[in-house]
Amino acid sequence: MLSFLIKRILSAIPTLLIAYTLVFFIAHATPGSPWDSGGNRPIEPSIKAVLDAKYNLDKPLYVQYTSYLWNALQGDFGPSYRDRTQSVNDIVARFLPVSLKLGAAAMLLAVLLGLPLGALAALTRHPAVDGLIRMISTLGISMPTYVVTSILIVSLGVGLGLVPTFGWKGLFTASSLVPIFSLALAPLAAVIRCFRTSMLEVMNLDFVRTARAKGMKPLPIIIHHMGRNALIPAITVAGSYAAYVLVGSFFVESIAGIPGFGRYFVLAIAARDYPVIIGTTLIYAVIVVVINLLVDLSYFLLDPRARLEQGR
Amino acid sequence: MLKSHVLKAFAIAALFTTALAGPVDAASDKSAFRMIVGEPRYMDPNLAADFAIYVNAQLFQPLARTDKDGNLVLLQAKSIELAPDGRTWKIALNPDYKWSNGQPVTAADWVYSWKRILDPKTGSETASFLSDVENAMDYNKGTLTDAEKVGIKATGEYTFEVVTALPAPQFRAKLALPYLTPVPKAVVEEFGEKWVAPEHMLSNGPYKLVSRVNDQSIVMEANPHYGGAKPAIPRIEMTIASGDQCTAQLRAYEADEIDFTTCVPSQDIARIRGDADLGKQLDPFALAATEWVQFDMRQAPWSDKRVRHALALVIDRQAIVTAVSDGTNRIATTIVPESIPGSNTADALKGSIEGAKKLLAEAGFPDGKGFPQFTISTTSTRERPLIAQLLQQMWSDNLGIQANINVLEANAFRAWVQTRKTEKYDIMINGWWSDYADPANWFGDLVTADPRQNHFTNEAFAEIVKKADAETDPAKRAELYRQANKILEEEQPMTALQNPTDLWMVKPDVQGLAHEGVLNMYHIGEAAFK
Repeated sequence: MLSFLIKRILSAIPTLLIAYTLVFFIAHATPGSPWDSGGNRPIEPSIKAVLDAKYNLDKPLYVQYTSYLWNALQGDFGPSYRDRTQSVNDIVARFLPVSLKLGAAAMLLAVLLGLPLGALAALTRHPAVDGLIRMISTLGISMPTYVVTSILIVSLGVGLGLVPTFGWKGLFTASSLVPIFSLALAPLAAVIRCFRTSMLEVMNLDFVRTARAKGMKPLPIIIHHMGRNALIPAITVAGSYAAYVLVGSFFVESIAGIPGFGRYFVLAIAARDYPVIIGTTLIYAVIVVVINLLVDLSYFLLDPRARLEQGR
Repeated sequence: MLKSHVLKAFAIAALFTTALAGPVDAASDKSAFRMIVGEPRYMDPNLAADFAIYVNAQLFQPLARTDKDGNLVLLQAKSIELAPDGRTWKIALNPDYKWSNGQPVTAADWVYSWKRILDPKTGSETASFLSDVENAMDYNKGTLTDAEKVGIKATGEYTFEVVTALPAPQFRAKLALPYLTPVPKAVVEEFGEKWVAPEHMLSNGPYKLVSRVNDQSIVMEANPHYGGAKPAIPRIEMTIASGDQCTAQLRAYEADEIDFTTCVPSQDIARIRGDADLGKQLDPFALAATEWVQFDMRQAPWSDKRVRHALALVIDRQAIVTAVSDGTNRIATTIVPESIPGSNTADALKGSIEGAKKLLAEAGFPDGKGFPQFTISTTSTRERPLIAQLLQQMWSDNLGIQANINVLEANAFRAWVQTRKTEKYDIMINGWWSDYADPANWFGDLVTADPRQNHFTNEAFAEIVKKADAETDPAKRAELYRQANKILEEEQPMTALQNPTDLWMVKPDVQGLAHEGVLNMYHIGEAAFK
């Protein structure tokens, strides 16, 4: 287990380095400069030169590449060009928690609703219930988040006045309802489908039949024997969604007015805010690596076979 | 058995979601004016060159305002006088106007601020508004390092002078620009770029900054030391939007979450105008701005006037205005808008589609035969791609010539336009918004300085504009610009398409929220709740 952990952490280093290299050169190759996003009139070339010098953009690219990497390794991700009063570290500290909170709530909702619904769909003999659950999951997978968010805002906000149409007042306010549901829908649908399939698979396996024959009550069988074995694929699916739900969705955050990480990331691209683009991408990459690692570790807890294989 | 457990699970999930929900915010007591704005790129008024000036205008105030007839209405200034030499502007400040901590706004603050705008280290996009000032551009470009040589200096605690390099009548209008406001010298020197934080910022306008959370909210409250009339609305709450602000504003407005919107998404205009209640809350304002299609004047076939005329004559402007704004924008037949002195719609190009075909044939392309395939380049915003498609079709249907469309993301388009200084292009769609109501802002800043890379060179035009810029008699000056306008429209380096209209919506219980100046500023400090 320990050697597995160390191997995985070491293999993350080249992954992060490749991510850094790609995003660095793609960001700099994008047409336009950080100083082109002004108003009516273009900025004087002489002023552009001064700004370039101030932020070391006049240096050759390989110098910028290495110096940014060196600073990033020491935890300094540079200044923001879009808002000169803030550093990338400030931005991450301010915007990432908002997205993390919303994402965590959405994932929790997806798992807490998805597992019982998936189990119900697998176990029910009632075609209407199965059909309804299948409809929810199909809608959730096929509808893009910007459509879901817009529909929820227009119907619940503008139409019924139940939730605010825009803005962020904190996790435990009505302003978080629309973004949480919008974010939760896709992972919810995936968890339902996946858990339903794997429940159907384990339903007729020998150990389940044995448990039934022993006279165990249905619920303990569903939870301890079937559920636990069917959980592994569902966890993998939820894990793959968690990475992008946790760091925030640009569409959901823009449309619902959430000052989150996903929105800021895309605004930074529009503003050619290189340090922010690179810094946030690296953090995104780290989050994906960590979550994948956590998903792998969860196999050890859930699946005795994985533990056995490692033990050999 | 199973059923009851499943029901339990559902109940838990439902409980969880309601716990998250919490109470919906109650409708506000009407003490705060609520609106949605874009994230200001800069809260520093010496740096703000984009829509941030509308946010900043609640906090910072210029010397004066320009009324409809171009006269100055004094605000922070007690008097503004032009010396007989035509170059020296003597400004006396009104000592009643104070910073939001009660300290006086002095001439030293004003001089410091304007030189700070010009300082190349500041990197301000607003520096060009001071380009008339003696030695200002040399200092800004770094060829002159001594800031003392710039023609801005304090002559007393509350008096200062600005000397222009040449007699510059348009500088009167620039003195009233919302871009040229003061910053508190002592605070800026102490805190550097962080002076704009709410705990440090001092402002000289009707409001002061109380809190700002980046990309989330801005809150202002009445400045107790403001020298003008005290605001009737004590508090402003701004929520920050990004991306599609018009849609966010309209939704929040219809849900009664905000009191004011500054635009309406084009797809909603017809619905709003048709709605009995919402239609009445619509408050349009005709902007002194023009959007046009321009040709690369350096190369064939665009250097041939007959080709430009042919392409211009077959444009159906009404179709464009209807498609992009439900007819709320106005048809523009000349580049310089009607409200700017020197403009003359009688100079508009006249002719028919038949005439256009003849012109194209004379230029060597009968029925469009042999005409090179060309590209219309445009930014992706402001419905411009739609305009490009309409032009593409009009030119193909009427003249038999074929265009491609090249849509670029906004920032990439700006950078692309800049590189057209040396590189070639065919046609682009562009626009200009008046910064101040003076012909110099169009004939000089737009056509002569050529920031849009039109490459229009015409000796007679250049000569007249040069003469007009220095003419101090307003009547003679306007007449000169009218001559220049005639040449501009006859040469047709740009073909005007439309004059945009701003569509505000204001809640019925708000009164006194007026459109101010060519920039269409709003001043919440002058509005009140009924």
